[in-house]
Parts: sequence; C-alpha cells; structure tokens
Amino acid sequence: MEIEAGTSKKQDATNADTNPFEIIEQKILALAQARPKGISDKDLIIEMPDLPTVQRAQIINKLLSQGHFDLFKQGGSLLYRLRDPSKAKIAKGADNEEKIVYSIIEEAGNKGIWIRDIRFKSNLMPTQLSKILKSLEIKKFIKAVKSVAASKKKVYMLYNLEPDTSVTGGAWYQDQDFEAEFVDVLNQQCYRFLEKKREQMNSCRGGPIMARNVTFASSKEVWKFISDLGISKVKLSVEDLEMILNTLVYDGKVERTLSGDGSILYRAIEPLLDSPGLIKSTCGVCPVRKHCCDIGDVTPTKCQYITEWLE
Amino acid sequence: MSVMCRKLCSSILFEHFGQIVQCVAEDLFKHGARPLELIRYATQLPLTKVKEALCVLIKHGFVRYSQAEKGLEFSLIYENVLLVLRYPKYMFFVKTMCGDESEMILEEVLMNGYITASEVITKAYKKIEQSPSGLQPSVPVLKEKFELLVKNQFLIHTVEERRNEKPDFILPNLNLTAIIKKIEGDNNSDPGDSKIYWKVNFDRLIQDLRDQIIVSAIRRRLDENAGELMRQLIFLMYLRTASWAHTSNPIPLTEIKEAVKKTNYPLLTHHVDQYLHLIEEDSSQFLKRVGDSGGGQFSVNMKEAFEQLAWATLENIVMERFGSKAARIFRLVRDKKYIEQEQIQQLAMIPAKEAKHLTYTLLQENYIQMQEMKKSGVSAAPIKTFFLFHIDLNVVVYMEVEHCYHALYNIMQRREYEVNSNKRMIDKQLRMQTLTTNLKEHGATEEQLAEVLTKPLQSNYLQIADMMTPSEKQQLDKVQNTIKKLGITELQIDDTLFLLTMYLRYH
Amino acid sequence: MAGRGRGRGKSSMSISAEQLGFAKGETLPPPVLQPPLKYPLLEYKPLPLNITTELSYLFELKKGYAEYMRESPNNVLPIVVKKDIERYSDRYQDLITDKSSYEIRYDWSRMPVELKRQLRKRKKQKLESPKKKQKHIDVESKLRELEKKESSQQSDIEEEEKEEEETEEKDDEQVEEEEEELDEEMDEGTDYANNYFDNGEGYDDEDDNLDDGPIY
Repeated sequence: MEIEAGTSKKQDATNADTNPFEIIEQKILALAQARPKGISDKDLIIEMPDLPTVQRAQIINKLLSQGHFDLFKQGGSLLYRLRDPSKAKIAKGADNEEKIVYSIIEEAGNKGIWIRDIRFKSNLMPTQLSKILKSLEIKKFIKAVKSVAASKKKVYMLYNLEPDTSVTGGAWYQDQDFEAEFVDVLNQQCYRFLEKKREQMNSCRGGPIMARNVTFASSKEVWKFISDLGISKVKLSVEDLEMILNTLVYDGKVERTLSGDGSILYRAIEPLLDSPGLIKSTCGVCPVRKHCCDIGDVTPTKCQYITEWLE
Repeated sequence: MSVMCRKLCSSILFEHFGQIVQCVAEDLFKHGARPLELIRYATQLPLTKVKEALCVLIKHGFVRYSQAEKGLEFSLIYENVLLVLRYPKYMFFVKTMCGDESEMILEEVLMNGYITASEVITKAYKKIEQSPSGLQPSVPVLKEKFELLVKNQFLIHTVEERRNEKPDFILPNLNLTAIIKKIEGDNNSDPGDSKIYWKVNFDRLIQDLRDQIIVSAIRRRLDENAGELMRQLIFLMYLRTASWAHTSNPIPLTEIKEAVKKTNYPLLTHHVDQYLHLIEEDSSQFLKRVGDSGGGQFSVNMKEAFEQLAWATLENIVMERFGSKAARIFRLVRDKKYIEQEQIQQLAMIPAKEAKHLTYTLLQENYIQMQEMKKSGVSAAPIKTFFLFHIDLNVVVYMEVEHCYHALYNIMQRREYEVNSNKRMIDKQLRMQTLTTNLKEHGATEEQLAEVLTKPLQSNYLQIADMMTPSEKQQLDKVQNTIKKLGITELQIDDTLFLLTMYLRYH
Repeated sequence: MAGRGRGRGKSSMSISAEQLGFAKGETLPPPVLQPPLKYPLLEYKPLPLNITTELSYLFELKKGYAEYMRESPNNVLPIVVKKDIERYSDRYQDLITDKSSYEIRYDWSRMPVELKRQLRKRKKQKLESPKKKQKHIDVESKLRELEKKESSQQSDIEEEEKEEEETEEKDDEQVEEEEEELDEEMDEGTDYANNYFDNGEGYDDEDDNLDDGPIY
C-alpha cells in the first residue's frame, strides 16, 4: 500500500514541475497523508497561510472530484481524508463486491485472512466469493499464501505485502514444515553455552555478585556463538535466537533479565527444588489413577506398575 | 474433607492403633462431632471398646471433645492424624538439633501422647540401658536433654481442654533422686511433677521443617553461604514476627551483620551485603528490601516463598508425568497468565500438532484451565469465540494434595499387603530373633548359636522346624527390601504433601 | 429433535474436527475398536528412589514407631474369646499386651469421666448383681439423707452447699453408670453373634464412587 502511495506521489511530483497549481495540490496531499485521520480547513489555513481561500476551495474541490479525498464531518467542521490511492485504483475497474472483499483482505494486513472468515465478513456466497478472489488474484491486487498454522489452509493478503512470520513461520519453517529438530538442537546448544558460562563462576574470586555476573550472556553473545558453530543453514537473526533462548526460560533452565542498557541477558540457573517425592513413586506418574480404587482391576495391591517397580 | 484423605487417615490409624481405633475414628470422620452413644450404635462395637478407643485417640491428640447440649461430643482432628506420617522426620530433626537422648525422649512422648517429665526420663533411661547404642544412661543428662527440648519449645505443657489456659513452657522442679529411686524400683518415691504433662509442640516442629525447605532452596539456588544467611534471616524473623505471619517485620542490616558474624562462615561475613543483594534479586523472591534506614531493612516473605516453591513442585510433577515439552508449555502458560493455543505453539516452539496434544493433555488432567472468551466483531459477523489457557494455582495445588493422599494411601495399602502375604516368614524370623536373644541371655556362645541356627536337626529346641533355609532367607531379604522401599516412598511423598500444605496454609 | 432446522452446512456438534486440530480432508485417526489396556505402558517412569543413609534411618524410626504402637496397649484389641488350643503366638501376644483395664493407664483428671467403664466384669455378672442392689439402696438412703438435711435447715450454709455438691456429683456418676450398664446389657446377647469389625473393605463401598469419576 505504501509503495503504491509512493508511486502516485511520484507522478504528482513530475506534474508539479510544470504547474504551480499542482505544487499546492501536492502539498495539500502530503499534509493529508501526514494526518491519516483527516485534515480540516483550519489546519490548511495554519499550514498554508499564504494560500487564498478561493484558490484553496478550488483545489480541494478538484481533489474531491478526482476521488483523492473523502469528505467527513466531525464536531461541526469538515474534514478531508486522503482516500487510499490503491483503493482509488481498484475503484476504477471493479464492482462493489470486489471492493468489499478487497477491503476485508486489506484489513487483515500481512497476517492474511482465511477464506472462511472473508465469507463470514462479506456475507457472500462461496461460489461468488471464490470468483471474486480469483479475479483479484489475476489482477495482482491480492495473493494467496500458505500458512504454517494449518498446512492445508491458504490466507489472502494484499499482493505487495511481505507475509508475517506467523504465516511463514520465519526461520523455523521449511516449506511450511516446522523444523522441530533444528529448534531442539539450537535449544541444547544455547544451554550448553550458558552452562559453560555458569561454570566460570566457580573460578571467579571477586565476590558473589561478580561471580554471578560472569554467568550472564547477552542474546547477541549467544547469537555469535551459534553463528560461529555454523550449525544453521539459514541465517538467523538475534531475534530468532532470542526465541530459542526463551524456550530455555520456559524449560526452567535459564533466567532472563533486562540489563541497564536495554539488552536482554540470559543465565543458566539451578532449580529451587529437587524433584518432589511424589514422582518418585509409580502412583505419582500413574496414567490410570482415575480408575484406581480398592475394588476392581486397578487396585494398589494388584497394581502392575508397583509390582514392576518393586522388582 | 475428601474421601481419599479419610481413607489415608484410616490407614494410618489402623497401622498404629489397630482396627477398633480405626473403626471409631472412621465413624467420626464420616459424621463429624457426635456423642458416645451414636458412635457405639454406628460402629456396633462394645461400649467399653468405644470408650477405650476414644481414650487412645484423645490422648494422642486425634480427638477433641466438647460439651454439647446432650452431653459430650467427640470430633476427629484429621490434620493431627496426618502428622503421624511425619513423626520420623520430627524425631530426626530433634536428633540433629539436640542429640540422641533428646530424640529418644521425643519418641517416648510421641508414643504416649502426653506424659510427665519424670516418667519420660525414666522410660528413656530404661530404653538406653537396654539398647546397644553405646549411650550411657544418666538421669541428670536426660533431665538436661529434656530441658533442652522444652527450651527449644519442641515440648509444651498440655492444658485441660475445658479450661481456657494458655500452654506454656515452664519447667517443673524435678526431684532427681526420686527419679533414680523410681528407676531402681521404688514406686513410692515422688519425683514432684505429678499431673504436669508434656506433649510434642507440633507447631514448632512444622515451622522448623518449613524453614529447612526455605534454607535448602536458597542453598540450591545460590550457595552454602546464601543458605546460611537465609537461616539467620529466618532466625531474626522469629525475634520480631508472629509465627505464621506472611512476611517478617523489617530486619535492619546491622542486626543481620551482627548475627552473621557469629556464624562460622567467613566468606558470608565478608560479603554479607552482596549475598543479601543476591537473595533479594533472585526470582524466588524470598527476601524483599523494605526500607533504607540503618543501611537497609529486609523482610522475609514466607507467603511468596511458598508460592514459588509450589510452582516449582508443580512444574516438576508436570515434567515427570508428561515430559519436558509439556513442562515448557506449563511454564509458558504460567508466565503469560492468559494465552491462546496459537501463541503457545509459537512461543514454546513446538510443532503445532504436538503442542496442541500436550496442551489438551494438560487441560484434561486439570493442570491448566481453559477460559472461553467471546469477542463481538462487526455486527453482521458471527461472534468470534476464542479460548484462553491459564493456570489456577490453588486448583492445581488442591488437586496435587489429593494426588499425594491417594499415592500415600496406595503405597500404604501395598505395604500392608506385602507384609500380610509374607506374614508366616516374617513371624518366623521374629521367633528366631527371640530365640537367639534368649539363648544369648542364657550364656550361649557364638559358636553354639551358629550351630543351633545352621544344624536345626541336631538341636533340641522346639523351633527346629522353624529354621530358615537359604532360599527362605533370600525370600525374606526380598520382602524386607520391598517393605523398606515402600516405606521410604511414603516418607518421600509426604515431603511433597508437606510443601503443598504449607502453600495452602499461606494462601 | 432440537438440532433440526438449524440450517445446513454447519455441524450441530459443538466442536468440529477443525477445532480439534484436524484440517479438512486430513485423515482422522481410526476408530478405537479395543478397550484400553488396564495398565497401559508407562510413558514416563517414576524417578529413581535414591535411598540415602538418612532415609534408611528415617525408615527405621518409622517402622520402630509403628511396631511399638501396634504392640502397645494403644492398639485396642477386641474382647478375646477363649480358644480351645493355646498357640505360641497367643503366648507371644500375652507378653506384649497389657491385659489390665485401660482405665488405670489414664489420669482421669485429664479425661472425660464419661469414658470410664463400669467396674463390673462380664463374667462376674452374677456376683455383681447384689452389689448393684446395694448401690441402689445407697442412692436411696442418700436421697433420704438429703431430704432430712433440707428439712432440718441447717444454719451452716457453706457446709451444706459443699455436701450437696458432693452428693450431686456422686449421683450423677451413679446414674451415668447405670445407664451404661443398661446399654451393656442390651448388647450382651448380640455381642458375639455380631461381627462388629469391618473387614476393612466395607467402608469403601459407600462413597467410593465419588472419586472414581473424573473431576472437572
């Protein structure tokens, strides 16, 4: 959308060289673009005090008639809002249904939207909707992207958008397949790195706080370590690695803290407790506990798990 | 009170006090406070037996009685029954704090419910005399140890229930010569403390076990020095705070330094500020800085500590029951408070299908909870429903407490079963032990003993047929190991139960 | 049917296959044709039990305590019916069980007197009956005494009060005892015929079902 807006601006700019009227027009358009909520006459007077009122009205009327502006009334004053140039574009060769579908897809941004949700929102019949979608696709207004969230589902988004990582899955996906093993390896390697750092504290002689500080590593440090290992085929970003480090936090093995300069620090930690006694008994991990009582097939005296465990 | 808890209490009572006491307590468990007549009617036991059982239960603190409209009513204090599971830990704790004799004294008190000082000293004396522990029995030493127990508030006066007395720790004036005379068999001597009874102060011991958990958690998380500092902080907490307060009143830094100086931890003394900083900064949140006056004021936060410990326990349980990926999801939900399925798989970085499966397993087993949210969108569009996962800590803790009850009950039942199905052999071994001690008492030498035990056919003794064959001996060893393993497991499960109970006490 | 007429296309089930994570067209797992195993294979084994010396010691304490309690008079034993044959184990039992009445083991200033048992012993019932009558007479004579005292209106109020209290107390106790005796007589016939012990299984039947079902 931004790209298109840019191109239309360029066109305006080239025309502006020849016509002073066009320069003012372009200026007003730029002002309106800076205020997506709309611009009032008052704003225009403040911004362009030299512009005569008559001339301003002429230009505004021209822009309105050309479909650049939408007119709004808010709090007693009129507001001019820049109409989306791409929408303006579609307005030419499309019917109402196409416009509705287009705006629904546009609203979904780069996360995309499922066909079912478009149907619900537009209230269109499935056959009609798929026709419209096909037409929009051919005109390269929109595109269908396979989502990693559900392998067989496509989401629609505007043609020029870069799909969100929630759709592509980012570095962790290859052709919509989550690379679980790759993630696990990285998880282990990151932990190994942080654990090594923790071991250094034993040789630290500068007091307990200094010893603890030795164990911290910034995400960048870990990123560098992983990059140097060369285990990744794809180039990982620091953010990618922070995702991995966060899984270690959720594993309870690592703690995350914000440092004074805003970077995120990680360190390996020891858990507060030994494993609880309950899970040292078969009854602690028993999958059929709900069926276990004094009578029937699953009883403490007949229990095969206990028998096996006692052997 | 749950069915499982009732069954567990019932098993505990059966193991220690037999069927009649179990039966009477079971009745009280089911019906709450009720008079003698109704108990007798429901249990169908002879009245004298009901009375006798109630006496036992009252003396051990499991039953209390109160005057109701139509006479006395008896009610069960099930919490006290559950304490029996922990008696060995109390004895061991007292042993490490006050020595072997103190442990024996405490054991005697536990065996009697309540008892006078002179009596418990007499009993302990006789026990030491008979035991091969190598301790020398001495009345003055035992008296000293008794006083040590009282000083530490491990023992407390019993008070009569009907009067509104406050229990205290005032020591009686004991006539030591009278006690010695009594031990020698003179029943007429008066040690001077008749009717002054002592019982175990469980509240004190529960706090001590609680403190041990806190100290060892800090020791694990940081190091030995930090653990010791935590111990000192708890000690300072006692000086200024009511027993079960959620947080301690502020402890000034100067006092902490003073206390630490007296310990034998030079590194700690040197870095006390740094260690305080570390404990305070740790995510466990056991300690909070609450003021800056006098170099800093610190407050121990027991409530928060047990919340953290309960979480750690649950995380561990999930880990061992459903694997590390499930534990990751559990922690993630805890961290995010409310989270959608999609976010779970993204943040936990687990393939969608596996993540869903694990999330629903946790949901099904009630380790996480689900909340339905309705979000109204455009008026024409249908209302969008989405589901948020979260964890209700109290719900999960209660569930795990039940889990502990169930596991304890099961393991006890199994132990009982293993004992019963090998009863013949265990009895036989018991008889042999009696025989050997008898022979020893009659001056048999080791060789003679060996002869009797290995060549049964030549022996004149009645128990000829009872001698054990090697395979029987092997079998017996196996049974004893089984029973030991089960017994130790009970102790371990009780640790978890204790921790979770502590959490509930604060929340 | 309530589900009818809701329009087509939308399944009336509250959860669709898609919500369960199955994409359209994806093969659903085959239907389960077998009952689940009673003891399915354990996916996760319990953690190993590390038996430290401390735990062994704790176990000895636990075992020692339980054994002591079980063999002590705290274990309330049923009234034993004389057996024809004396067994070795009986002798053993005799050694460890305090046969004397439980009453002497308690300080009754600390126990509800209600829990005392009457002095009479089952076997000596015949011997006891005259005693009982005596007791009865005793009460009556006391009552008479009391009446006399009341009518004579002694001036020493303090003393009177004191005595009254005493007699009252005694009266109470006696009345109580008599009541108890009555009870005892009532069971007498059924005592032995009845099996007054739970075999340890009976109590499960009642509310057990409660914890069988899943808790939501």
